[in-house]
Amino acid sequence: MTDPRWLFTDNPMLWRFFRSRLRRRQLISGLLLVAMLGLAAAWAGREFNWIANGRSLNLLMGVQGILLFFIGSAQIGQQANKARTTGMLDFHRIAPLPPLNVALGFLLGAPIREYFLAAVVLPFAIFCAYGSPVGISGYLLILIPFILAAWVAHAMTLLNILVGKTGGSGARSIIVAVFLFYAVGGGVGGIIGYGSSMFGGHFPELKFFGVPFPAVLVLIGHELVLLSFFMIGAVRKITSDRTHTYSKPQALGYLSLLGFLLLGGCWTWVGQEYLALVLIYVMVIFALLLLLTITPDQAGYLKGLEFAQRHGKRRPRWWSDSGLNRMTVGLFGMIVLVISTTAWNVIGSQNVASATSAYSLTIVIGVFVVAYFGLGLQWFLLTSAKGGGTMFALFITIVWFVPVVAGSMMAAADVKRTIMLPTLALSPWAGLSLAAGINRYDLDSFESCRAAALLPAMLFAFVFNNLVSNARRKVEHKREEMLGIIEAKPKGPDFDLAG
Amino acid sequence: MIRLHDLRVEFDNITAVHDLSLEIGPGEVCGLIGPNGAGKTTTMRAMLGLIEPTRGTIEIAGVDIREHPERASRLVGFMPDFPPMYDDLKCWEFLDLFAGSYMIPRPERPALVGRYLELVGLTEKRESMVAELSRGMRQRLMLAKTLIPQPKVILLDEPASGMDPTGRIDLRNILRGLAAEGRTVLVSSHILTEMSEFCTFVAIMERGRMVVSGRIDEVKAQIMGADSLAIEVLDGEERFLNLLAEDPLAGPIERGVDGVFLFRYAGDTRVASDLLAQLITSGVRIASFSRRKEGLEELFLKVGAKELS
Repeated sequence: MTDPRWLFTDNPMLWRFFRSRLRRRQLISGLLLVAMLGLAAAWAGREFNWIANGRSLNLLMGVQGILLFFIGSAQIGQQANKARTTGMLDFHRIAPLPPLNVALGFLLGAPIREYFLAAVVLPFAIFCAYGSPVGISGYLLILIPFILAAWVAHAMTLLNILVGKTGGSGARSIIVAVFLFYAVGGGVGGIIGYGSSMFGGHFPELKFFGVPFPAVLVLIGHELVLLSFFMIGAVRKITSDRTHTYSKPQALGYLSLLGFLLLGGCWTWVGQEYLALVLIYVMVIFALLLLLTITPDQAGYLKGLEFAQRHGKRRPRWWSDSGLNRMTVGLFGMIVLVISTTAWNVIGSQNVASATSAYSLTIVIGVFVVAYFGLGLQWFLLTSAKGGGTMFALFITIVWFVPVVAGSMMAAADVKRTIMLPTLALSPWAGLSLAAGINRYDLDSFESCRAAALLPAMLFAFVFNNLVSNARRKVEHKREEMLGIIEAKPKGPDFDLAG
Repeated sequence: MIRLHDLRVEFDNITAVHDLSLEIGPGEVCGLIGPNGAGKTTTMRAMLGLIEPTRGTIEIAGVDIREHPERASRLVGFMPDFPPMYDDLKCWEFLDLFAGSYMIPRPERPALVGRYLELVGLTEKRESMVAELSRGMRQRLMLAKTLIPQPKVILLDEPASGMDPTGRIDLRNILRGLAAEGRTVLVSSHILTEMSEFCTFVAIMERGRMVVSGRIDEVKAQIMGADSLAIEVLDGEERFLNLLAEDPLAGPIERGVDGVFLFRYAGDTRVASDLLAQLITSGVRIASFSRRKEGLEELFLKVGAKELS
């Protein structure tokens, strides 16, 4: 356990930024500029009566937002990118200072000048808040999720830089997805909504699993989850450039947590059938993205085998980075199954009892999609030392997008719906909705859509499961041959020149 | 102090380091020599844990770096070729950052920073920004950064490049001092003549494989055989050649462009001095008589490695 002093007061990375970014000359000019802006806003507030309607406070919070969100994130991005590309980060990796301390150094240290500048705005903002509907306490309450949201943006920037290039697009795409889903949809939207309510003199509440909580608490809770999500990835990437962004238990934890938060938020939306379907999509998408960040390639598995056998084990444990993803795929499927089924039972099935079987099948299709995606990815990465990811991307393009393109062309050409819709349903993205019964009144195609969505997903899942077993055996056999543990197979008669 | 066993590093389909084994004891300065692409830097990076080996073991002072990376990290210092730096820090701030990164308590750091700035001759540059330093000064500062945690094993990749002659002499003395303190130094460099002056151990790599390794004297004796004698004769060349033809310890004689006779001589220093006495008493007039020790360059060329690029 690290001494807390090394995390904050004695953290050399923090001091590194305090020293370089708080040099008197640059700091003072920035402070003066921001102070003048603050003064101007406060003066305008008094002169044009902007304080009473909250316009001055809005303006000052906008300045703080630009400083913290945009300039602060840009600073972190720039500093982390420089450290990574020049190789300085490698020096931190080989030094005993824990990677968490280095990550905290970047997170809190790189935008330190921006914190000082935002702090200069604070007295003016408090002055403007005093006469506004929000009041000083309201403003200070908004500041908590506001600063947390800035940290989330900073942590996301840091992770984004660290997974770039060698980290793979998988890790990047999950960052983008999390950002879009939470930061835009939930975090930023939440702050704006919450702030607006406060400006209206209300202190809003949000229900979580039906229990009302102050919105600020729900917001802070979500932000802390996001912050930890990004920071854990960043700390892992600082520990080692080649490591996966998340470990398998972390990915499992996050998928469960995501499901828990989604369920908690949707709990009271009873009768909203479409929401249960959206929830299946979200769970499947996140499971697929997380699978991209945890699946080992051939080299990783070989290293894992070497390490495991040195410790008297036959194979790497399933939860280790180098362990095959099969068990995790199974657990991901279970999480998707449990969350989706609960969501359907709580919020979806109340008014549409007849559709229960359709939704059950959709959930099963979702689980099979997660399974074949994970196992397929594992097979492609395990069988080719190089280019496995590209081949997998090609496979996914064919399986997911070709049916959509073909179905759309059929629709344009006015082909019969009994052919067009099942063709579309071959792709899981259309198949999940069609199997759920959004076309349930089109009875001619409903059953064939369900079959078209289910069969390929099931088939691929079973085929890839077998292929992964075979590929694993082959990789292990080849390694044993190479090490001389077993004799190399004699070549076939075609190559046997003596024969 | 450094023990590599069957180390293999593979990238995709390329084997960068091929089942390499090496053992270097405390107090040795080892020259890691090889042409570009031989796998020297990859070996060093694997020793630091920056590259995960496909298989094999790496022990630093008895600590397996894959089993206990954190413990191992406290034992190794590394200075790369073209070292990156934080240009926005002052020299003392840069050293303080890394002293802190090696968990040296804050009260101890100022004295330590001062001592190492002095060791590398940068005391006057203490308050200068790193960005203002010349290439050689940056190398010196990086050397100070490498030494500040007082590591037991020091890995240096081209440490002298960009240094002026004074810097190189200082570096040589520092390396000798480190070896005298019982630390193990692994230096990768292309300047073989300079390496000859401070290396006690040599490891020659080619295409990811270890061609030869061991204490320099032993490797030289094994590869090169006897030392050479260089004799400049003023008068009595015929007598000189006759005498040597009868001496079983003397190898084939060559005459250099400067007229100096060069030949391998299997006798030790005492026997060589007897030969000198014999030559003089038989009336050969000698202008100069010296024993030539082959450096790392000759050794490197002899073991068949490709020319340095």
